[in-house]
Amino acid sequence: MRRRTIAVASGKGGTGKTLVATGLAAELAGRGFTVTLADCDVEAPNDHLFFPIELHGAPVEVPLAEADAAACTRCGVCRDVCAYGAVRLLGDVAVVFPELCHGCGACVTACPAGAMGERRRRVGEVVRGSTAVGPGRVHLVAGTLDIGEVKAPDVIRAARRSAEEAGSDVIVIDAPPGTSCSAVAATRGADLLVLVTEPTAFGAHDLALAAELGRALDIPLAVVENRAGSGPVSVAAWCSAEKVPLVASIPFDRAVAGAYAEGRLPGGEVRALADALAVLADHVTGEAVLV
Amino acid sequence: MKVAVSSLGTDPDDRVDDRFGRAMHFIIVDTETEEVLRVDNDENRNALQGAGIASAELVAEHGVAAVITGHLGPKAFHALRMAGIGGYRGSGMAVDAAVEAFEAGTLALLSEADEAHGA
Repeated sequence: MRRRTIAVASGKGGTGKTLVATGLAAELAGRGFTVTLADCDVEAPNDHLFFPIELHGAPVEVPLAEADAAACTRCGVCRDVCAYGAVRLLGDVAVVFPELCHGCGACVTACPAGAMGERRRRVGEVVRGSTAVGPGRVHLVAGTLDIGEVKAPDVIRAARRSAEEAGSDVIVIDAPPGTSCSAVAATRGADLLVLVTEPTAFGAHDLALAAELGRALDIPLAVVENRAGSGPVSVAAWCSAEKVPLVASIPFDRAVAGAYAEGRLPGGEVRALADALAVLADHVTGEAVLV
Repeated sequence: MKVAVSSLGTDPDDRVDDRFGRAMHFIIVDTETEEVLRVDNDENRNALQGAGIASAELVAEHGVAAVITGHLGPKAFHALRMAGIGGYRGSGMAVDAAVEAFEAGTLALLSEADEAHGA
């Protein structure tokens, strides 16, 4: 089949994205596919905990504007073209604030004195490694944002580029929570957005937001309910009203949490979880989704 | 010398605004000529980010040598230092009283060690 990119997202944090993403990757590898699991939750990547893989990395660098004090004429053009308020005239020179600079290059292009340049600045790293799982293989790619840095989307895009290069049948993206720039960077262009939710008011609220994100990005949606039976909300009713397929339901079961907490790959000994992941894998590879 | 005071209102007897970057107004006082300039800070106050450094630039462009406020975030502190402007603590005071205290040398200088943790 043609390579498919499946993004696993949620809106609300802690609903089970990592459980579903790692479990789906393992299930697909168990069917003989080569799967790239791209951990794009770059502020707290943890997919690697489930795979005994030696990982090797490369830094992620972004351009950062820099003013040459000797050449600066204090004309203010750089400040005026900066859409992010990152360049300010202070004292005798233009000053770039790295936390605000997006590296767009507008000031470099606009400066009439040729005083603005760029250097590369590290904001994180992308590591990768590979292991056989059953008859298939899992390539793990994980982005990590450096502590104190804010440019998560740059690290996420780098992780996704690395995932594209791995040459697999399926890319499973473990997206960050929320619906901000990071979630957009992790899900844009995916073939399917799997939304993991829980039957709580908070879960339902953020499921609606995440669905809105998927629709804005024109990605087909599928819902996986986690901890089914743990709260008062009917995920099935929401899915029915919104015409989104509820693909699988993972029961609220201490055994699921126990295996997960011990770092064992989801599936295996917990039958209901394995069944849910198998149904999700069917949906991901099935005719209904294939274009 | 010119001093910029972050202020809750536009009158010299209004209170010092504890916020610098998102201050309501700046009252800029020339201590030699006693000239008073009022600047509405609405643009920076409502900025999504970078309010502190934008306000630092604003007061720098007015040629002030000192700022009287309640608190400076780390970026505002850094920006004021780049511009060679000192920050002084005037929490709870009226603007005119704070300027008098500044001239008398009784206001505490805001230091990075005091300020950097509270951002």
